[in-house]
Amino acid sequence: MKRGDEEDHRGSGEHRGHSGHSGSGGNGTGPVGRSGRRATLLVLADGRMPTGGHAHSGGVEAAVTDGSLASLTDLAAFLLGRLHTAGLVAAAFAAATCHGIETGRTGVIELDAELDARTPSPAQRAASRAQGRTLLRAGRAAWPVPAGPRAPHHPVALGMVAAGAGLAPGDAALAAAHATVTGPATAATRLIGLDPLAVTAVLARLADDVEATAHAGEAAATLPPRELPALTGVRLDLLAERHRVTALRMFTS
Amino acid sequence: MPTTADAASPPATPRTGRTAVRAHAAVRVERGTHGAPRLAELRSDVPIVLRLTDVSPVRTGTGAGVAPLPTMTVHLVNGAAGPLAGDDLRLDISVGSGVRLVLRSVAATVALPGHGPGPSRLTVTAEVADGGELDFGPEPTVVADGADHRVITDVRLAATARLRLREEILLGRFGEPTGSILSTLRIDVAHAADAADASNAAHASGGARTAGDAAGAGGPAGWVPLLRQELLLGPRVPGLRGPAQLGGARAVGSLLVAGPEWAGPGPEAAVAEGVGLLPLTGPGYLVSALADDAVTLRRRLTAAPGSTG
Repeated sequence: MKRGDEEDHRGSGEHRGHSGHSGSGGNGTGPVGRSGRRATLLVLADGRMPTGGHAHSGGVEAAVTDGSLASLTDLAAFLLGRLHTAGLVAAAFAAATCHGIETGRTGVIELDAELDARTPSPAQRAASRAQGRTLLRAGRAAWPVPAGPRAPHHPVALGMVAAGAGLAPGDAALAAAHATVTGPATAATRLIGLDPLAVTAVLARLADDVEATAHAGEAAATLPPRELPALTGVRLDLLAERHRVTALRMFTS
Repeated sequence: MPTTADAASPPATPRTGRTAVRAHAAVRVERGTHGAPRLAELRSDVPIVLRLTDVSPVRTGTGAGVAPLPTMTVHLVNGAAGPLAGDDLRLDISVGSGVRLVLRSVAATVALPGHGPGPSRLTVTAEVADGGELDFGPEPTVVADGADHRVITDVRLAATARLRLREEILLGRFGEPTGSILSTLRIDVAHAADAADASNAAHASGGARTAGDAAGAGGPAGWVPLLRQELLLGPRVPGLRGPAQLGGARAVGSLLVAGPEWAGPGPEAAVAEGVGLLPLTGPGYLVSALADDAVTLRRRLTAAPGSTG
């Protein structure tokens, strides 16, 4: 991403480099949150925004059911694995959508079709589009969101809403990476009765990885759509399908 | 973008004085006169050695209710150890109209460390014409301790072409920690007029389009993405052994089946121990599997419920 001169005048703490934590991220060059609209970004990323995200566990419920997620340690590993696969994809597509709308170059429909090809699990596609639709509805009530598909994938909806809210691609990427871990963390707290304070500490320890993932997503946003990240977590796909056929469940996905 | 360098192990002890290898092999099959398959090109380039092993004027295709196609079978024979770090190997595959190419390998590929520059790299490109079929099922890739391997598989299918593509990755040789691998699968299907209409209806749900969507779902070159999948595996991949990625599995694989017969309602999604059958938005489905060993992985990939693979 190019770094415009005007951002250098804003002088916020956002310009600090990320810590260089291990992971696939960290090769981004632009500072995340460079739009300076931090309060707007907080509204978009707030878990209390009525986007329907509370109905989805992102695979946590199925992992609890199959016994692979039973402790705080398991949750931390789950979130790290989800962030560096689905989280990077979401961050890149949110940033690419926002960037495409800002510049008028890349079509939202094309990005949405590229995300379909990165989401082989029908259950995950349905969950992503359901969340995209409710996010767009909430976003349109708040900001002048540009026209587009009614039920796009969630990262595409996030990019559309971010653009409508006057946020930058890096903001969209950060909101996407953040949502990748916060939703499942909250679901785990409810499902296996983890200590909410301890879960918050897990999320705090993931902050550098979230930021690095957002940087990597932002850096990828200008690539041709077919070359955008497509990392898969493998078990996430299987968990989503297993959950779909589970009779008794608390979360939609 | 992810790189295997992030996940690489420390450099291994040098094993050989061999320099990095570049190789470019190709296989091209066409329908000849009288309908018999014709080998238009078979170019080996060590270490990629190609051998024609069978020609059948007529053999049953993979898809249900699909007309039999004249079939040619070619085997990949590894002509040297490796690939080793720095090796840059390429295989181009082309299948013409009305013929079927079955491409197999005689043994597993073992990606090894070395002291060449950068990762070892294998690029496979394939084009399948209308009414043609590619059945590419190589033996597994074993990622040895210390290896840093990159695989790119790029397939373009004409609107009525068929594909069966199997990939199997084993994390380390027996009892050994794994090296690193980044495998990218990109499958595109040509943008047929009627397929485009159905696709747009599904994606847009009747919503208005933004100004930037003039190119439509087909993208600039008239291709619709069917599958994009990157697997990044290695000792330092964050969360690899957690419940979102591999858990305890040591073998990872997928089987992609694509063709015009899957454009409508295909097989139902299904899931069983360590395996899922995932119908794609486009004309095909993916079987995705995890296992503790290669034998179980193969069984899960080929015997998935609802799969014709």
